[in-house]
Amino acid sequence: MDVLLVEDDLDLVDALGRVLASRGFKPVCCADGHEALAWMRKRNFDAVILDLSLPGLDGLDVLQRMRDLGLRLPVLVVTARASIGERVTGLTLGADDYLTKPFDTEELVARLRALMRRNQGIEDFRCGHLQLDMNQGLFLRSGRPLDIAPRESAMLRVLITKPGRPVSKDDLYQAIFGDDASHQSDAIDLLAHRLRKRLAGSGAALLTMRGIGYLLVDELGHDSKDPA
Amino acid sequence: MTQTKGKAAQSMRKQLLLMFVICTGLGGALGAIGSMTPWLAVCMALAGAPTLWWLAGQCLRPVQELTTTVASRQPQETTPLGHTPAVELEPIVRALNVQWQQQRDALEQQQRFIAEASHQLRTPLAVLKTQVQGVTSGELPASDTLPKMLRTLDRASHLANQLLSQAKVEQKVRHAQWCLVELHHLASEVLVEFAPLIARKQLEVSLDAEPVRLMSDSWLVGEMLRNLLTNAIRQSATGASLGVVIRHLPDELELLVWDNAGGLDEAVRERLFQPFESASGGTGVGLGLSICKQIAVSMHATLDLYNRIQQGAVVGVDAVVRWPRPAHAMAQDSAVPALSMPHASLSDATLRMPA
Repeated sequence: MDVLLVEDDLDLVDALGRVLASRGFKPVCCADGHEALAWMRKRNFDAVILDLSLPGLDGLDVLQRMRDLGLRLPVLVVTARASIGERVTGLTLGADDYLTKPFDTEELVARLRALMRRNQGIEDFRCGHLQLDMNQGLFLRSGRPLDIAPRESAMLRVLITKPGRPVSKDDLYQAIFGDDASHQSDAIDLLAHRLRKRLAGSGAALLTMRGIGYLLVDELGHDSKDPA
Repeated sequence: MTQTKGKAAQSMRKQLLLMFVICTGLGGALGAIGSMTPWLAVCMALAGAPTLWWLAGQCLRPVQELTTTVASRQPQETTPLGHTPAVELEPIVRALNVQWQQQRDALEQQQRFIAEASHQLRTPLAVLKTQVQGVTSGELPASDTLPKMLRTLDRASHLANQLLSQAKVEQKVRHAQWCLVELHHLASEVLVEFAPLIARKQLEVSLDAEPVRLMSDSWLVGEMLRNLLTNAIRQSATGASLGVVIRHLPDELELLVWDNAGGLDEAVRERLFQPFESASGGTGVGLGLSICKQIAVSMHATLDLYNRIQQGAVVGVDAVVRWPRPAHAMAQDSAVPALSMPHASLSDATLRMPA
């Protein structure tokens, strides 16, 4: 897994390079936008970790030129610029994901792996001990098929494919029942109630955000520390 | 202020010029009526010009004196002027003194903020340095110290974010982009944004929102809501409940962020709106509520904290933002809809007390 790490802070390059290497990646580090483009032309990388504030050629310019050159490899932007406007600009220019400094290395590695899998056409969705097997369209719990009714499965599929985001009741209704409007307005609540029972002990929990929708939570990944 | 002074001097010069013209004209008229020839009369009037010039100098002397005093002051000097050169100039001197007083207050506030921010920023750095040196020298066990260092770093990161947010709010308040903000949609977007934090603590969250539109800056309202929600989430225990209520009141529009994380001490309530003041036992850096207050004031809204009491016990805090409703909106909306929300019935059964 060849990764190009474009970052001008040498301490961060050193630490992150070691972490990536210990996790099985082969990082190539460079601190300059022009150099990064030169590396991308001469070698095939599986992904790029790109800082936005670079000497010479700005990260957003690197992104623009990459896409102009037809380089389609996934890019994870890592930056201290946290404004929504810059995030939108980065994603519009072709960044595949965005992480704000200071970041958690576990999260960076997880996102990088997800980007690489997606780039290889492998969609792999997990939550707790649950896993969605895209080939068979089945849910596995600790590797064994989960006993689940079709509509509950449809609901869980929508939720697991949108990690970290609540899904509104309307969207869930549409995904499960389509245009069939004959079902009661509380049909989704009843399904959610049944799904909660199925999920007990799976490491995945269904959280209600009343007035917003439902959110699937990885209980194994949660901790009670204060959000920074 | 310089403009006001200039106008006063200009006005006096005009008056003197008018006097001169009148004198000259009068001289001419007298000459025409009486025995003097008009030319002789005009010459006499002109001869009085130096006297008039001297008089003008005397009249303008207080203005010149004030000009010299103001011009000779250092840019950073903000002490009030004790001496007023002339009674007519008292309003100008008063206005100048008010201006300098405001400048002095702003500078003092900034100095206090910088001193406190320096302390708040340097303290976690000092802690980190001590921890690193302790681990390096073998005096502190790495397994015990490294997790503590992570917590220190999280706190320092939060502080840096809050300081940047404070700076951005100050800039945005000066250049707010007022437009119609759909408060209920904005609250929904912010709650979706907070989903990872809500998931981390497995909180039961609710949004009870009537459609509310108000003229404001959407970034500022969003930032205020983010800060209030951050506080509620930080204070809440894992699995607790919190929520946002948006509703029309008879004379106001209300945005309420509630939690079930216990109450606030009466003694600290007002202090919490000051920078770097946080509730006892709180984990925040004490900038969130000060930022919220600044935003609320900038949009002519009020922000208050109330302890919510249920069955005689304080169960949580309501952070309440209220905007006065525009008169035309109240006329259109004479029948305020009853609030059919669980939180409303909860409120009916509870007492809300100033925290």
